[in-house]
Amino acid sequence: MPLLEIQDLVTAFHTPAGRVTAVDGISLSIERGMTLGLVGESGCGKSVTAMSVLGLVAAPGRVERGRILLEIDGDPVNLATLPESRLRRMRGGRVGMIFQEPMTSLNPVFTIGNQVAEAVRLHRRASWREARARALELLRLVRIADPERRLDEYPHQLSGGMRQRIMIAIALACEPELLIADEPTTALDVTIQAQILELLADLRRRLGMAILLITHDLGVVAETCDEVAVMYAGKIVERAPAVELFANPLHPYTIGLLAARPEHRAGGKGPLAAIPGMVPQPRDFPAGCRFHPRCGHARKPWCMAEQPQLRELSPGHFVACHFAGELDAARPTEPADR
Amino acid sequence: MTGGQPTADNRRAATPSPRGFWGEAWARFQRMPLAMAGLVFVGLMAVVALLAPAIAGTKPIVCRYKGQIYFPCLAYYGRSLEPVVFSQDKFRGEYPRNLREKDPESWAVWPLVFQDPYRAVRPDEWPGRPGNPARDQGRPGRLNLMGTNQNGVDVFAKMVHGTLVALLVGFVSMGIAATIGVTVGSLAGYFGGWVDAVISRITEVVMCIPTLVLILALLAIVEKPTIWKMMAVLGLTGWPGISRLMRAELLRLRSAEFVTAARAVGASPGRIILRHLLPNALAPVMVPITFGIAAAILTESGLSFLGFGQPPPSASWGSLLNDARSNLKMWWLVFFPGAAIFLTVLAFNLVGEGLQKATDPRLREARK
Repeated sequence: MPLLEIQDLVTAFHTPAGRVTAVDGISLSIERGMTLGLVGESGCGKSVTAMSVLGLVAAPGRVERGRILLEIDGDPVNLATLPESRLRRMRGGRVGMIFQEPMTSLNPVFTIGNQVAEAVRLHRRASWREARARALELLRLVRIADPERRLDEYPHQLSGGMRQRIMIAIALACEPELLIADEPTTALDVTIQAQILELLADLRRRLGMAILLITHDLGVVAETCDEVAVMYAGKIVERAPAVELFANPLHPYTIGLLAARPEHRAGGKGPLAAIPGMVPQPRDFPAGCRFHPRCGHARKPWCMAEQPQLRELSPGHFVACHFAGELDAARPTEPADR
Repeated sequence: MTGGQPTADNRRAATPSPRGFWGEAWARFQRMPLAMAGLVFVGLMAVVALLAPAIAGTKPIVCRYKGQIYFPCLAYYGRSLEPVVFSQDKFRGEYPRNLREKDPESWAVWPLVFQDPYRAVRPDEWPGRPGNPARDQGRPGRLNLMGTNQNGVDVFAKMVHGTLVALLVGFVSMGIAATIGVTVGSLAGYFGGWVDAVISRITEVVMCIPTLVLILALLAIVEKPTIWKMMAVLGLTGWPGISRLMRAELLRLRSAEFVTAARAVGASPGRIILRHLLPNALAPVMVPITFGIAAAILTESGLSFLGFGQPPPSASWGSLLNDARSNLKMWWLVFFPGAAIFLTVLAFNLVGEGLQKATDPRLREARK
């Protein structure tokens, strides 16, 4: 069985204005040692999915349906129904997590060593001295120069890339089997991004852990992921091995995303291609296919009336579109009015 | 240390200093002369308060009597600390003459000023020395540095011993208030929901109680009003401000990324509050605590002035002001305690203001 299997996950927020479904029935699975990329525009529910896995969704949000099965010593454990105290042992123990904002993800009043050592001590019986030795080891693992000195420094003395390395060190403190990386490179500049991605790929090989990589950057996905799931408006619209997805995208949204990459412009010049419109707010998702107001292929009445389900078009390649595979015949037209 | 070394300052800005948050704040605090003056004054007061029995008193700091060493001055901290020998030998609090008469071999180290805050020094108590003058005869002079009150009790001794009372009132009552306020406020701020709702309503109820009136009511009921009871009331009514600030601070910090990160490595709520939130929220609440100390001292002085303080043999600054009411010609009964109260409250407020500036997050950002 896979290391992590998410089945029909629904996470909703109960706001005074009404119920908002941020994640609407998604299913995913990650094998041991593999990297799954979860891709989509801002606000499509990627981060909420990640937070749901570890039960970190803040009130008024909560996981309402579905199972989150983590394989522990051969048995699947449903994280969605696990009591908080046992869930706490999963966090940082079996599953590590890193965040988008390395600038604010470290506590400003404690030294680096203190914070890394704390992560060690949360899950292992260790004296401060042992934890500190382990912290030093971890800083070396994430390739921080001059680790002895860095241990006694404060977060504000480090650059963004360094802080993200520290966050990775903290997440790896107890050798998790799964690392959830929520846009780990978004806040960093391009050269640092490449270094961090390379570090993650290297650590994955050396430690044999699986990675759930959340990003909106298809370039990042192409470089690092084995499999890709594309999310749109709380649903997964396409799922395929990375090579297959880039070679043969089937969902109009995926096609649009791939066309919107800067390197895809003809001759590297001209305006960037863009998908018209914006991701709808969870409060007013359109009926039928949620992408139809922005889709050049939408046809009445199917797309407006019926929500497409994920279908396996070729082995391992799933897509949720009524006309997937037939799009070449239907030339893109203007987006449908309604 | 202040302006004269721009190069040193530039260098520090270029390479971030290795000091932590409090180190940074302390460095900024040191660059504020007024705040530093306030802190030095508070420090001096603390020294005076702790050494009060050695500065002014009629009991020896150390003495040797009938072959034994005693520290009679400790009696000023608590009456039970007075060695029993001296009451058995009928000293009646008059040490110099008795020591000499009852044990010629004895010796003693005396306080700097031989005056007592609770009674007038009698003639010939110290062989060859006149007693304290009373009423408006007790002008400031060589024997009575700040004069005496109507009963001939030395004002300087009262002032020195009153420092301890003032500081005790300030620190103990604010200590109680801070403990309650920080605990209650952080619970409300972190857990939110119904916990917050209940705590916030209780806070509002306590806020509505006028402290002074409550103390007056309590003093009317209680048989023996002591400063300890006053401190308890000041502490038990002084926490809502701190609690509300703490709550707001935690509400803000609760959604900080590093809190989510701490939860993601498996930290428990208690650990998150104590280790991650409190140290970050402490700076803003230090400011109202400091101001609160000043306010508590002022309240105690005010109550003593009105005659609702500790009953007579007390050494509170406010009670000196109370003595002055009957005869305003005795200006020294107004001037010295008035100045002391004013300077103390000013000093604490300066320290509070300095603290506010030194820990201001906006200034901290600007230095990055």
